Amino acid sequence: MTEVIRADALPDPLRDELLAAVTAATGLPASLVAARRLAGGASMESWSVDLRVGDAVEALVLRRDMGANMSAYALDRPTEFALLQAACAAGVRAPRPRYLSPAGAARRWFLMERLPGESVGRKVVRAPELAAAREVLARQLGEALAVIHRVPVAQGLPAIPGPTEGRSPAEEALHQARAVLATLGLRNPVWSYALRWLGQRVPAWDGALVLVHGDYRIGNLLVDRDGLAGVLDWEFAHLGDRHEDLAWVTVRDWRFEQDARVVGGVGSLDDYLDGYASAGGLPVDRDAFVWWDLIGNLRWALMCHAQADRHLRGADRSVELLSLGRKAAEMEWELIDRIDAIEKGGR
Amino acid sequence: MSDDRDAFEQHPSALDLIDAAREHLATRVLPAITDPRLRFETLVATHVLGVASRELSRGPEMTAEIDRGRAALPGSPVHDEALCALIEEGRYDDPEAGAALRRWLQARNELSLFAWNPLFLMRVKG
Repeated sequence: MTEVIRADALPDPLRDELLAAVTAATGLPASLVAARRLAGGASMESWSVDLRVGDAVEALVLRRDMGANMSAYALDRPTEFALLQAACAAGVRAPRPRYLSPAGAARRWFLMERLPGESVGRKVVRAPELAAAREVLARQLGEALAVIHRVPVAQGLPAIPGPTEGRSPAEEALHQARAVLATLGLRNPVWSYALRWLGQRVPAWDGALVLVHGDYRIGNLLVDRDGLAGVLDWEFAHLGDRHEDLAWVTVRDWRFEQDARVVGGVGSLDDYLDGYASAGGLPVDRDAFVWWDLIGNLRWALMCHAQADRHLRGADRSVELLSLGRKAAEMEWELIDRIDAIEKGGR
Repeated sequence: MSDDRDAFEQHPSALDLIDAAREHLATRVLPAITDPRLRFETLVATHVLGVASRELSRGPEMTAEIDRGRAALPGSPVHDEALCALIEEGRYDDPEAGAALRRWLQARNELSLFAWNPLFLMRVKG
């Protein structure tokens, strides 16, 4: 599924912790068959792990905290585990969560089933063997998002963050963007202009508060020859406005240079929104959609600078993180270009 | 007009050093790396040296162009901090002032993209 980067052995204390937790959950003896480290996110460690549990071998993925969160708004592992259970129960195509770390674990983790498929964005948009999948993927992405937005989150789940009382999701997004900006301590006229422009055009909200995946884009989706095989990486899930999720996959950077295919570099907006509507998604307001697309670009630009800051502050020295600070210019170009087109009467 | 013939100039220049390091990484180091993660990180390191090289090669010209353009905006801001304050006060809410600001922001951004990713610029400008 994910590109293998290292073949490190699972550290002994972690292996013992996993096996003890699996035995406690199942009452069966557990042993390690194989493990390899996977390319993970900036705040998460991922492993492909095969465990023998009783007489069966389970193919699993381990998601484990790295100790430093990329965002103050990210879920912890027990909440993500519970949310994945609720999502799977509601019919979302996602890996089934299997085992959760004990409460006392220094760095929390969970094990989920390992699904087949490709998640690396550049491969999803280009691989010849996925050409047929791309033909249906935009529609499937819309359909799957409608299912996600219906996941019941009120009962039996740990608290999922949502907008502060008195703020709409859009006002909350603006508030969070300003908070990130204050933390960065940087001044940039593109950000000042975009924030003012967006702040003067906050979309009306119909009050529908749904489960928002929070990072629904190519790169966080498993794709096989039939199309969407699973939705991954739920750590930024929250309660919010459906348009936030709907617009995020159309942000240019998630098209992986396949610019003409507006939805994640794989398909058309019409197919995507048709899929959403046909699966029972609530009506889509085009103005709100555009607003969330634009603030998506701004948030991603700010996030890139926050990643560069991790290097500059010495918290996580990495030339890759540092370079993201310059990549933000791409999202800034998009912001100004789109706002200019809107001001001139287009989209 | 200034005469910089007496200015202290290092030889080889900073640009020469950066270009040599970049060439070394690209032609000698990268082909020898088999670990995919290390290879990716080294590709990024090679790229950022290219960014620095392009920026240094046009640095003074870029800065002067950006400064001239900003000073010509309504309100004549002399630096980004002053411009941000004017934006936040609503100085560019007027359609004409807003259009002038967007033109300058995009010109400034194009110079950043020339250094960071010239291919992106070619792609989006068509």
